[in-house]
Amino acid sequence: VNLLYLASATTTLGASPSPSPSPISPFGPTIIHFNFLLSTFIWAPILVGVVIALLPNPRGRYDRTILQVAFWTNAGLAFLALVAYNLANLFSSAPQYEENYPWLPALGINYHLGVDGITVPLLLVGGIVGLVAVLASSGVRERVREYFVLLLLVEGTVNGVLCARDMFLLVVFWGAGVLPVALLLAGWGGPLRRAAANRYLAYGALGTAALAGVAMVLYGTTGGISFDFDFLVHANLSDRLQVVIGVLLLVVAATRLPLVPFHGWARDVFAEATPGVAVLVAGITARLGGYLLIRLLVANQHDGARLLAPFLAFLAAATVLYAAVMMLRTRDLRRFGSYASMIPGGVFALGVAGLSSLALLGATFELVAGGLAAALAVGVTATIAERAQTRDIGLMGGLAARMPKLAWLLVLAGLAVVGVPGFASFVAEAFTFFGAFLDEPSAVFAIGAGLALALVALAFAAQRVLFGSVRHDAPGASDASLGEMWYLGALVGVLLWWGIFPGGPKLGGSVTIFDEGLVNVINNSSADIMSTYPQLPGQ
Amino acid sequence: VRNLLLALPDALVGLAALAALVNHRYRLLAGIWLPAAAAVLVLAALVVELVYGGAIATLLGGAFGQDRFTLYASAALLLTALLVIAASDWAELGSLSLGLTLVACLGGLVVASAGDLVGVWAGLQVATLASLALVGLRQPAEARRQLPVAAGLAALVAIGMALIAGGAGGELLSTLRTGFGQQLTLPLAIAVLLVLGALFSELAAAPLLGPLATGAAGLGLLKFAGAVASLGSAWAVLVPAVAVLAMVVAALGSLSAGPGRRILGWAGLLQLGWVVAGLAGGSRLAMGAGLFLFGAYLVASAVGPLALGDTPHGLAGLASRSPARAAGFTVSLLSLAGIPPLAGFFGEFAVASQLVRGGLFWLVAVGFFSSAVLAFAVLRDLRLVFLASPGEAVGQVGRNRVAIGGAAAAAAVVIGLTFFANPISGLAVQGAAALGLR
Repeated sequence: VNLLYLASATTTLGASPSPSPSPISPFGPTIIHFNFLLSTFIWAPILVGVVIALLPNPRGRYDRTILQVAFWTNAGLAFLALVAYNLANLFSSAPQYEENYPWLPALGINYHLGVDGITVPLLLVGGIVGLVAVLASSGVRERVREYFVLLLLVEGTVNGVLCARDMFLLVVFWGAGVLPVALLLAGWGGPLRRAAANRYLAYGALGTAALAGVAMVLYGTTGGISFDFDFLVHANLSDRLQVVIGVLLLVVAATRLPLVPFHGWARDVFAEATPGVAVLVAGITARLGGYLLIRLLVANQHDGARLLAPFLAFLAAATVLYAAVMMLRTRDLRRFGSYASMIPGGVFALGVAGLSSLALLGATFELVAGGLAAALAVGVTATIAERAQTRDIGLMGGLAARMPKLAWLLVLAGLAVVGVPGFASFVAEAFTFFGAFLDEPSAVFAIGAGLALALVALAFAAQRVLFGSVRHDAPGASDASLGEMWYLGALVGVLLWWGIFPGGPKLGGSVTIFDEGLVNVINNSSADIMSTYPQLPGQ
Repeated sequence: VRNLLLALPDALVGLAALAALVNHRYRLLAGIWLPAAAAVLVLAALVVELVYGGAIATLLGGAFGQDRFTLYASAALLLTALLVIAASDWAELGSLSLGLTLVACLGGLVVASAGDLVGVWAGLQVATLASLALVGLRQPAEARRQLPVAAGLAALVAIGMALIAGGAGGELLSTLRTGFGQQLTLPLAIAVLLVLGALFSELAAAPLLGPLATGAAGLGLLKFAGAVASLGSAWAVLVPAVAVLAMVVAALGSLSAGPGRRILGWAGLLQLGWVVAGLAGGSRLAMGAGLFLFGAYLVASAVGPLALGDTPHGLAGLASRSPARAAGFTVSLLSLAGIPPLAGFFGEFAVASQLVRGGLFWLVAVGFFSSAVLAFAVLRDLRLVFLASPGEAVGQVGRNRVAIGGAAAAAAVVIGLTFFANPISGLAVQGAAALGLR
């Protein structure tokens, strides 16, 4: 199904700039007669978090209730995101569900929110990952209230970054999300959690400072009139300035995705955090770096993007190769998951460097699929490490017999990260590779080699962890609980759904039911962005 | 009569101060009644300022003036004083402390409404001396150490101001704005730098004396800088240098400082660096952004120490022992550190945007980098407050319910500044315009 779909997609998607074949559908976003949909995504988790923080919880009496409140808040948000995704207007690349109110008019700052085909799927992924993160956190026993308050604050700020259409708002939510994650890392998790928190904070603060710098440069060079995206997008900047902005944005994105050489935090964070926090960071928080690269670099700084594309392709290849080599070398299962989770970021960066409609479609698809795959990888490895009572691969062996469900999930997670057919990541990688091949062939080959190496590493790890004989000094192991199966299974299910139906399930071969198709939702906006690029001689 | 109304806030605060000082001598009111009465008078002063302060007028031959700067500055000072009164444990501190606090506030109000250099100097010294005396009540050795510094700086300011008044042909601020023209002589430049240097030093030392002394020092600096804005070339290098020095020293200091009040102090110094950077912008909007940030700084710097109460080194597990105090401390710290989304961040971002307009990208870069460094100290303190288990080091958390309520209310005020940033920053820009900046 995938290959057939791809065969047709590669011939039709590449050169389709914003077709708009029909007027705006009456069943588009206007069906929701609710003006504050996006504000709900942002403020609902924050308000619920504040209320939980203020309510008394003597001796943890209401810990279970707090977990349930967090769960249902996330379930509600995920449902709303699903509705927004399904009702998004496929034939418009303009911002939808828009809210725009003046906030600080003297400085040109507006409370401007809006989403498009690139953002809506990420909102949905954020909702799914948030729900999964709560399920994965059901084992938290210490300071439960503080934990879920921070988790909800992170989710609110993530949604804020996704919905912001004003640079100031973007910086506010970006910066506001760093400290809660750092606190989640510092307070819960493995023995090296404080070091992990400090590292995350260091990279997060660097990224925030760089992003604020981008905002200032854009604001200053456009006359200091407005921070609104709609205004800044029309700025006519010199090549030199675009490169400066591009480099700053690369720093911002690389600190989040992460990309080599700004990957220092990822190994410790994904290896030390609780499964819930690791899933949240890998699944959506890290993806924001990529989102920013599309929104601010590719969409706005055309010359800067072109000039920096080879460099970005090099970073992408370096990231995937580094991750694959480290997966082969590491003896720590959680670090294995950490390195595996770096691979989608590298593939995404290749898509951005490709600078074609198809490559950008693949990159955006990879943000979604890669986020889910990375979340699955760190979630599975964290759960196995907990259940096996050790992270040392040398002490593991024969786990397939003792934890068959988790064994399957580990294999599936590895395959999803690498991108084998059937998973959404395969569709993303195929689009990315086809789209980027013309401009960045060496990077495509290098990343292909890296993925092959990662597959080898996965095979070795599976052989050492899952098969062979049980070591006599290995601690006792047990299989996944029902809750763990739910959260890991949900991630696998979504990856398979978009892997098998990237264009949405069709009734009778033509009528879309339930899901309009991730490709269709993304394509209009990504093609629209690329249609603004001037053709270079020889293209 | 209407013009006399403009002096009413000062009169009400003066009355409250007098009542507190008299009560210290004769013990007329006990318990909560005196602080409550003082709070009512200060609140009334704030209301009068907000209702009638929009007028533009002068009294006493120009020595006392009312304009938008006075309105903004007085409102910020009165709000800070109100928070200090609400969140302090006066049963322990006593009437004399309350009286001195109100005198310090009165000094700040005099600076805010001064129309000449004498008023600026006098108000500043009243606020400084009252705050110094307040420190002396609890820490005599510290006050003795601070006294010669304060006296020396006051003398330097006085000498410099006298030289400037002589050069301009009068001490009125309005005369200063027009008296020099574009002519900058070496003696005049030295006098300006002398006063600015002394005022910067006062501002740097004032946080040790409390938020009201800092308010007076900051307002004195802004008022003087506005008056001599036409001589900007004299201090074109000094002001950015001072801003960078404050930011970098604060960032580095925060890395080695202990938790609690010390981090609040370093974060406050960094924010004052941003305020000074607003001066470097040189425009009405830049000064307005600096003024807005200074207002946010005043409120947040007052809230933090008060929220901590008598547990200066007892942050561990504070959230579980006293959520209101923890909230007050957290909000104050985040705002002072310029971490989104609180008022401090708004102010710093506004200053940065105006600096960028003026081409001072490097100053913005230093500021953002310093704020990023400070974030480590913030993380450490918040981890202690929310995640550490309460140990023996915590000691006793103050139980005064009024004070705890005040801390929570103060936190709400800082958050309120964030959501109502537009009208407040608009007023700050009008205040900067009233200083004569374009």
